[in-house]
Amino acid sequence: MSTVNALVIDDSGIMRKMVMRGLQEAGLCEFEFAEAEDGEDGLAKFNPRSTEIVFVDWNMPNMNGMDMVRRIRAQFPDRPVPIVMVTTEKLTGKVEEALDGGVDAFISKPFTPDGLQKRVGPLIERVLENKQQKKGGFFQRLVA
Amino acid sequence: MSANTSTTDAINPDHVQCVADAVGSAMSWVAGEEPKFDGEAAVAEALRCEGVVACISLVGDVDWSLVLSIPRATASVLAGRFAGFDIPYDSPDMGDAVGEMANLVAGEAKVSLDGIGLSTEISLPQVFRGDIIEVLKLPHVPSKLLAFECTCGPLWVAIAQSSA
Repeated sequence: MSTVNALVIDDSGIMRKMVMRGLQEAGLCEFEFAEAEDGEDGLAKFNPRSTEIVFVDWNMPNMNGMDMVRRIRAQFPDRPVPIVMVTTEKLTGKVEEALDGGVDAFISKPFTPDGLQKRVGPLIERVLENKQQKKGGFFQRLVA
Repeated sequence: MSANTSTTDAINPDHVQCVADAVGSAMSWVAGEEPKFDGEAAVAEALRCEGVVACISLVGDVDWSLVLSIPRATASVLAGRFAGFDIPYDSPDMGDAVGEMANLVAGEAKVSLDGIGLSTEISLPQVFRGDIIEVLKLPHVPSKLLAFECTCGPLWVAIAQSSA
């Protein structure tokens, strides 16, 4: 099974553990996790070359999740890394604000492994397809 | 439970119901069971024991502090059910877990209040752990103290109005 590099950002260590466990239980792929405690930390740990998917809380100290998402989208416009917002916010206006701001999927806390699978599954498929294409392109270049 | 000493009439009963519903919804997920709402509690009945308290603000069309108070024995079981693994009572993770529970309650309250046309934003939680937690009622501060009971023990949620 392929491994996906995921960055999990939440000021609650318990929530980070729960997100990581939920993703593992969803059985979508193997994950290699990096963790960050707030938006600033998340921005510092986001690696445009290796981070393949981001899970971020909205309400955090120092820099909130939405500000971090906007910064990533502005700084790395050529790296459309999927970003999933995992938050207690759930009103329609907030969901729209997140999606308009560059978030690809929105998961309301509390969440279930099934909910994670439903929302995250298509994004993981996209990541794995991209990996496969890159690998295919690499071998094609080798053969050529 | 009796409803008298902890309350004033300044907080709209519909708003109180929103919070009670929010606690039911959030704690059902946390505890795996819907806590029984015992109504408004008298201050004398609440806590006065070792426990964890999380405070979070809702500001906007209401201006409240929500205070989730959980005795040690309840907190230990709830946190384990919430996280899916044991959390030692004295560990920093306990504060993290109870803070997140308060966050979930506030998130559900925000949705409930929005349903009756009230817009709010939620602060980050602050969490305290103490040997003897006692609810002290401040005079002239409109407040309600709501009591809940899970199979793992009691918990309380206080609503205090920050401004009139």
